[in-house]
Amino acid sequence: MRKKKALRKFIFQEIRTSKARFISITLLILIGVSFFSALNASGPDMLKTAALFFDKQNLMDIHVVSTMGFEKDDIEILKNQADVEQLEGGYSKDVITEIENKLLKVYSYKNTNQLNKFDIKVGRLPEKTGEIALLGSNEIKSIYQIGDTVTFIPESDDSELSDHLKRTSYTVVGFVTSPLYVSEKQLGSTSIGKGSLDGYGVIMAEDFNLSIYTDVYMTFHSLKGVDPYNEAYKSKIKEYQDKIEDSFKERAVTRLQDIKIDATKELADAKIKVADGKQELIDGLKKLNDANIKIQDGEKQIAKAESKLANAQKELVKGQAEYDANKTSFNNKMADAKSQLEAANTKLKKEQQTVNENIEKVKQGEQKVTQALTQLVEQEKTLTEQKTQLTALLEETRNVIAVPVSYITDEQKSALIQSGSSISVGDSQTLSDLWTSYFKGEASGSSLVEALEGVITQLESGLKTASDTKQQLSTQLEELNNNQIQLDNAQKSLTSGSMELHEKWQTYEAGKANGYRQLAVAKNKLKEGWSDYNEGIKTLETEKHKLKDAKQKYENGLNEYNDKKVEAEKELADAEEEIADGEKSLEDLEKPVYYAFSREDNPGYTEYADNAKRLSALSLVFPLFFFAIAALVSLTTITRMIEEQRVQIGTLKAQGYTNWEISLKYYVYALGASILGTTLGLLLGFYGIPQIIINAYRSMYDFPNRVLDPYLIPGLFSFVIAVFCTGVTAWAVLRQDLKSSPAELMRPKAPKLGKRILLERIPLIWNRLNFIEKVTMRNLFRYKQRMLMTVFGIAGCMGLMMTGFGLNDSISDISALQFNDLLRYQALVVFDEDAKKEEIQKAEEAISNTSGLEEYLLVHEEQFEVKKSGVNTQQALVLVPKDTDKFSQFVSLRSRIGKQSYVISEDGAVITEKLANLYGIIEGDTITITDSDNQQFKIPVAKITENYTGHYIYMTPRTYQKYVHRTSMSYNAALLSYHQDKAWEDTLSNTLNQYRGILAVSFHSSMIVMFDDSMGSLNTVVVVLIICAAVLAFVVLYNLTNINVSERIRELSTIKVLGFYDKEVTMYIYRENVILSLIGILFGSFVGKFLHYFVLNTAAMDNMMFSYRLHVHSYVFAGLLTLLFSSMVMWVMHNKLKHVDMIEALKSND
Amino acid sequence: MSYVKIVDEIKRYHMGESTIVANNGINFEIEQGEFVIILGPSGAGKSTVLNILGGMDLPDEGQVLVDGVDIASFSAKELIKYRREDVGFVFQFYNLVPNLTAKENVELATQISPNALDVDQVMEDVGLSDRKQNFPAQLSGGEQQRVAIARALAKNPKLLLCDEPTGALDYETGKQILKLLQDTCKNTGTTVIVITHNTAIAPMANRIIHIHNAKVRNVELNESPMPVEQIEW
Repeated sequence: MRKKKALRKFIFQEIRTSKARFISITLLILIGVSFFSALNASGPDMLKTAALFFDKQNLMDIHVVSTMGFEKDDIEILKNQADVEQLEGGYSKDVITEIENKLLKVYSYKNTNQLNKFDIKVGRLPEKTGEIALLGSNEIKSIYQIGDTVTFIPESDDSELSDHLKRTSYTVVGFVTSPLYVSEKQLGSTSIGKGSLDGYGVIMAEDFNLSIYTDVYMTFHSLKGVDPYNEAYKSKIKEYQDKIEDSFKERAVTRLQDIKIDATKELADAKIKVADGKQELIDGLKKLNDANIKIQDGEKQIAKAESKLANAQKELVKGQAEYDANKTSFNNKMADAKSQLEAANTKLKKEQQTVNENIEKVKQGEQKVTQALTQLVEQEKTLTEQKTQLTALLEETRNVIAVPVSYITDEQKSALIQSGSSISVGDSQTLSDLWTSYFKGEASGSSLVEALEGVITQLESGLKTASDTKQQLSTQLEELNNNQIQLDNAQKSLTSGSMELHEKWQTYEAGKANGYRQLAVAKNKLKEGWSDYNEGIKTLETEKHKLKDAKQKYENGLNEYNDKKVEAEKELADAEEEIADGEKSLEDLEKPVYYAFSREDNPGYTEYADNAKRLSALSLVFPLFFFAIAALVSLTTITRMIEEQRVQIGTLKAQGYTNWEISLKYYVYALGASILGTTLGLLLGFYGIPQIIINAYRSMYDFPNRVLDPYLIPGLFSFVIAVFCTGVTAWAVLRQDLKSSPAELMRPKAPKLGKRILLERIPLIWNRLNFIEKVTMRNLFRYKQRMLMTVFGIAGCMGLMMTGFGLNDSISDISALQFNDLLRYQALVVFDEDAKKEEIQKAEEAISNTSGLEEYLLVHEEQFEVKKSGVNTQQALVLVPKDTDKFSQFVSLRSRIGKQSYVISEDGAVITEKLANLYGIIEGDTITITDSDNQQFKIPVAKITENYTGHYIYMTPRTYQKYVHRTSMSYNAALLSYHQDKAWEDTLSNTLNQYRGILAVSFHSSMIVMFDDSMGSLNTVVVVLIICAAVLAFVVLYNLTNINVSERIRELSTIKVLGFYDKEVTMYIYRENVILSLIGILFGSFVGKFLHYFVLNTAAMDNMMFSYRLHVHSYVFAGLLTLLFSSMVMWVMHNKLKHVDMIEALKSND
Repeated sequence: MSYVKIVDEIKRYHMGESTIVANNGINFEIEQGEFVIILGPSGAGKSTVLNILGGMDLPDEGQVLVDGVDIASFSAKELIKYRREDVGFVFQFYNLVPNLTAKENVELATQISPNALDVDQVMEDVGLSDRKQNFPAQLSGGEQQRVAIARALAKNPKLLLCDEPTGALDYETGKQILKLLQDTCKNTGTTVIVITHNTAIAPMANRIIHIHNAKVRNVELNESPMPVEQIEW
């Protein structure tokens, strides 16, 4: 027991006296273990953290989405799936905020919701309508605070929010995170605006204006508590996904039919409505026309009526005149008739009188005639006497005249004038006068003759006349007799005339009465006519008024019609177009598609897993390598320690200590250091470093509760390695030593033979070296093992650091290489192939008219699968440019090594490198691609081009048509090239998204940001890596140098004694270190290059390739860091060497 | 004025709580070109004296005058310079650099010494002309010590200090080494100081300093030193 006690003391004393070594071994193990376990733990920790959050928030297992929402029958189908634990329907809608135009996805919330529970960061969830809780990201919080109002605006002018939401403004009541999103930075895509979401929100389900659910979330009994990142979970989910999608196969068909029927009916209704509308328009027009015609008719009629009235008036006036005339004429007539009658009466009376008179006359006449006859006979006697007197006078006269007047005595003359007074000679002249005149000389005697002749003639004629008259009177008497007869007759006719007249009077009276009656009638008629006329005028006025009104109405109607017609026609045209669209889309309407999404489809979900996996991938090689160095160095240290203590071992052995007792010290020492190192390392590795790494991802992924778990396998592995490296080393070295006899042990180990080195045989070099350099060279090769170890250690550290820097390079390079050098376009516009040709044309025009755009290229873009057993099926994008000449401006095709440029030609497709690598395709091979209909196409591969993310297959249109047997190919996308900023892009995006022909616009800039975000977090890991490598480098160098120094302490003391200055002493040994470091750096560059390549290959995902290029500055940094650590170690050593007790070292002989 | 003069030199070592006084007021003088032997039992403090003389250690008190300069007041750097230029040291265990050939070991010293001698000449002087290219491991103990002496001499030092130079050697070889040292002293005029506990060789020295219990017991001067060949022990 006492012995044991002494031994124990001895052991601890050893540890105490060689603290530095003990610590360095512990530290080496600690670093190795912690780094190894940390990287091993971080990935699973990240996944567990996420899984815990998902579990707590009851994240759905499957999220079912349909192109047409979910009806009752659909929900029923889902409910009837096997193993369903919970099923919840909900609504969602992508909206744009009024402020800053942020794109948000709004979810519905009911307080009964059990799935996808929001994690409340601040505030609360909505409790009543009009409240909203928003994603609690810094971006959102910088715009809205609790109590603010969020207002949504429609995505475009022709869309209505009210189709989906009952209100557009909501009050912010809280900030939340949803388990549907892993990162607040990767929020997935949206079909509106710039295409990617900026956040999400949750409002009461009642605020949605939808009748059927847009989303259905499900969980399953058998997946409860299963690690969602586990393959078992994934395969089960895949099974359920397939089952769900399968179970909707029939339903999709019937639902389509239902929809088609409904839609057809609706369309028919709509058509009818349009027809009605059209008819209405026509009717309206007709009505208007009719009205117009009527108005015109009315006008005509009024004109007619007016003229009629005018005529009537004229007529009436005429009638009046006529009447008046008639009346006058009638009166006249009547008067005439009366007067006639009276005249007739008078006449009759007169005639009666006349007759009476005539009868009288006749009687008188007869008396007269009889008298006359008696007279006449007397007269004839007088006349014949006168004649005989006158004849005698004439004879006397002739005789008187024959004597000249002068001769005639005055008695004669007076006698003559007296005789002549009774004889009238016409002209109231009497013969007396004539004589007078004659005697006066005024008349000729002839005239007296003549006048007497005349009077004789007259008497002769009177005689004659009297004879005649006698004659006549005899006739007259006869006549009178006749007259008497006639008068009798006349009397007779007078009597009948009187009777006639009487009759006529009677007729007259009757006629008069009749006439008056007729006149009265006419008067009445006229009166009536006037009143009619007046009435007519009145009516006409009202009609005119009415017409005027009608006209006004018509005018109004016409104006209105014209106004509305345009609108109505446009509406109708729209409606028709809509119907046509509807018909076309109905025709094109495909079965509703039901997608069963798993968690992996959640934005960021796979990226998160990938990030975790990438860490795990790093944990595979990296720390192992790291660990190996640490282990090797501790191995060397232990070896050295035991070797140093050979004499001691020999002494103990000589004193009779058993092998075990002797060994115990070393085991305790070695294992103590390693167990302590491992324990601390594991603690640090499981609880410390993962915290830092997860923290690094915090900006991307922030889960409320972190899971930091210990893991058995890395723990055990670390333990085993650590114990192996120390314990087994101790055992192996001790075994060797303990086999020897104590004497052998106590004798100094035969010093290593000095040896000439190979270099000395090359005088060309050797002779050029100065003495110290020669010494250094010699020394370098003398301690080959340590040299190798140093080189290896430094190379390893250098390699690790380089890998760290290199990873940084590779990560940061990708986006620049991919989105700058290789894909030289800045945006991709995808046209909606279901849209109408004109719409696409319009969209294309909009693109070509965009100002600021440098160039654009139409391409055919199509997704294909590439399959091969043993390789995960890959999605490859086939791009066929319309203009192959222009293509190089948009996509740079080149070999990664050598940067030889390619063009796409008819020789075949150009495929991207990763795709080629995955399927082992080389230039000249063929690649088989599978389209969505499971049709396979073989395409010869002409070239393999550099590419980092995604898989692309580029080919010419002809190649496409030749090998991918499609007759028609539409250019369904456009590549845009420009040099513009983010704001410009946002504007472009907003503009283009308004076009129906455009399905999506995606920008490389946002991909770069996303990419850099995702990759940026890996940088922290890289930093951790670099720091660890640096620490390791330091410890390794320190340890090895320490060993070197202690092994060569005599030599160092010797040269110190010889008068080497401190610097020279340090350099004496450190020159070797510098050289070894340089060699290590050089060698490490290759190691780093290889390690970098290896890590990249391991860490890269199937659809991604890192840039393998290591930047010069990565070499430089890693090298400089290595040299820096070397210098630091040198400085430490320098101080140590300064205080070396040279005397002590030189005294002993070992 | 003596070439070397140590005045009241005290050196203490602190071992934990106890203090060991290695030299407790050492006083002696040495003339230039003398062959000096310092005698004394183990632990008497002779090595301490030699170390101080060799510039490897500094005394706590007193003066150490070498060629008129008090090296006790030297700084660390001056001490190194002193070692570098003025002192040659020969150890019991040769302390050759195993990775260097005999010649190279010598050159190791001449590289840094300003008034170094010709290496080949020195090698010849110590009788190793034909072993120059050998590594220490290929040499016998005597040969190794010769190399060590050559290394010390090649610097052309003011003092050649030898700490038990024959301690690890057999009688004959030891004798040869002592002869080499005596000859060197005689031929080159180098002041040689040898530490030994072998009193038998004392007659070969010009001056014998007895150190006992950290103090100089007495100093013997020998007007006619005996050639070492004539000494038997």
